[in-house]
Amino acid sequence: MSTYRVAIGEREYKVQIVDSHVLVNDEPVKADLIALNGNGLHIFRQGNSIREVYLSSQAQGVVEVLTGGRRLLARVGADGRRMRRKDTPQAGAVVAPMPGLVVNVLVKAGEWVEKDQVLMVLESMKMQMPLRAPFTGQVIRICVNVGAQVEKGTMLAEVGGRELPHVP
Amino acid sequence: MKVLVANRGEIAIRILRACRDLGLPSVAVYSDADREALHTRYADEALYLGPTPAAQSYLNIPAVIAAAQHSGADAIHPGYGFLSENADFARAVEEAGLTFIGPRPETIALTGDKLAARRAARDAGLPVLPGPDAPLTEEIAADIAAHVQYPVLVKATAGGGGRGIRLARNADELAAMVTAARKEAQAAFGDDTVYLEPLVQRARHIEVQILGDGAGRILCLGERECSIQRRRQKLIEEAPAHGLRDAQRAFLYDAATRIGRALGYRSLGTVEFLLDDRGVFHFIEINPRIQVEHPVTEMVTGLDLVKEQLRLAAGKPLRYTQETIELRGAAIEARVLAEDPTTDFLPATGIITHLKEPGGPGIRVDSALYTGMTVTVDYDSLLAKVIAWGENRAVAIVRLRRALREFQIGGIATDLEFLFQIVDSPPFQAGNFDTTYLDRFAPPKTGEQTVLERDVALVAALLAHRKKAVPQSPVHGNAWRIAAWREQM
Repeated sequence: MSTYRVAIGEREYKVQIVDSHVLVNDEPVKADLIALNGNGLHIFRQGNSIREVYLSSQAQGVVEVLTGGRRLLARVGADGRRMRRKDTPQAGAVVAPMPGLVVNVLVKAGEWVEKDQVLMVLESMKMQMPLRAPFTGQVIRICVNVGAQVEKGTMLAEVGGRELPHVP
Repeated sequence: MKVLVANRGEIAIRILRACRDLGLPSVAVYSDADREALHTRYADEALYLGPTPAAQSYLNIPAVIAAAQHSGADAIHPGYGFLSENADFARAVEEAGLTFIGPRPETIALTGDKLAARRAARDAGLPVLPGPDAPLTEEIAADIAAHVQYPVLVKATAGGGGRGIRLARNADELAAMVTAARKEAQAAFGDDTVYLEPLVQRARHIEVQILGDGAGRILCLGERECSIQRRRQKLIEEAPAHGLRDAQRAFLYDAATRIGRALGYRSLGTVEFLLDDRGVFHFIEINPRIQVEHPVTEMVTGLDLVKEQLRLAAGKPLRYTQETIELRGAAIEARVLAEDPTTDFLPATGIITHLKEPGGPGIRVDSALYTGMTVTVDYDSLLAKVIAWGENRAVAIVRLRRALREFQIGGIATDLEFLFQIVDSPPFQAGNFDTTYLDRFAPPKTGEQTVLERDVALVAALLAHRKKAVPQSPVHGNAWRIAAWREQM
């Protein structure tokens, strides 16, 4: 038997598969996934009811699922390992939530900052977004300079603190 | 007439299509980021403008005019955004001996100065909101702060696209908002002139499409309702406006035609009004260009607005009279944006890995999307427009719901689901909304979504299970099969 933990947004599902038997959150279901072409197109069948799904595997066990005009990201963990609900790259890491231009850096490494204090400002599509300290602490390092073009997910700064963010 | 389209994205494709329908040769222009873009490939010719930043390419007046001259184009269509409302550009085009497909430069200059447009509208007998006709400074604001009826808007005279607008709720806020609006206006438009206008509460945004021949004849092509907005950006537009009385509609059409006639308006224009909760219209501004939401008007009039614009620019007469304009059914447009509703609408970027656009009865899609396209933050976030027509509003809604569910865009986050939720909401369906509707909009989580999520979890697990069972990649499989096949030979 294989057990998978699938996280979608805030919710987690347990899927167990033994031969052709499938259980979702311990409830048996009759379901099958049929690949139609080598290009990600699948039919998800439950009895006579079908759903067209387009699947694309991404990094770190994430699958992008397109179905019925919706796009969901499902993160799959195997063999009963519990999934983390959210990406926690590093305690106190401030990462770019969107690609953009660093237009202002307001603090220096070594400085003490309050929770929610603005550390730097990112500009993207003519929108300015302040990036704030995740908690009260000391700036360990600033990873970018003003004028830097950053991709989504780029580490911008790191704050070390008296309290660590909650990791579920 | 050979036409250069000085724009990109879906509107460039839209204009190029009209050129093709009329048999006119077309020229596209592109920046570094758009070397592979759909509009670059759709036109008969494509010329490089400059680097990715718009200031060096799509906003670069000498480069655009040089491209037109180099390609032997006779006319330039500016689309919307970029140089479309730049009177200096329109003038430079005409001085270069080319045709500017749009209003006269003087008209663009007048409509670009909101205070001047207000005066022109008042002179033509249109209802204009009360407020001083002079620009506002911090000093004047301090003098009049005690006498103003709040809330008020501080607006940039050069404004557009919802930028350079600040709300002041009381006398204490006024001076600060004047400063903030001036600063934003200076940065966005290079002009920090602002003025005061009362805030119309619970207003609906209703606009009228006009088409003028530049010689005094004005066609009124009906109204559009654009009240579904997020941060002053229109998201869903429809024609006609729901629930207007005949008398209101007649008043609106008369007002739009009157200002059009007063300006001797040439080409396409939109006269924008607010409708307050007492049923009174207030003129706000004129947009001297094709609008993003023009397809809903095309669907109910049966006209191709860009084609008419091109015909007029080629010196042909207006071929319709007001009596021949008949409005049929209802049309609704939804804007598909590269913005992620789950992260407060931050711009989404990435590569489009999968694409399936909707179709079927009553559906039109205007887009510049293709599989493999890279979506960046260099230009605006509009990916596609889905337009649904029906014999009445209810049918248009049903079709739009279907189309939004058919649309598949892989690789990046979009607002598709959010659009569906709006269209699905009972107040929207009942026509019971104003421009603040989305401020309070919170879609409920439905049973359907819970089932969907469970199914998706199941799909993801089944896929992972299959991969585990068949570990070799298809590439290896093929290589092995080819090797086996060679051995058989």
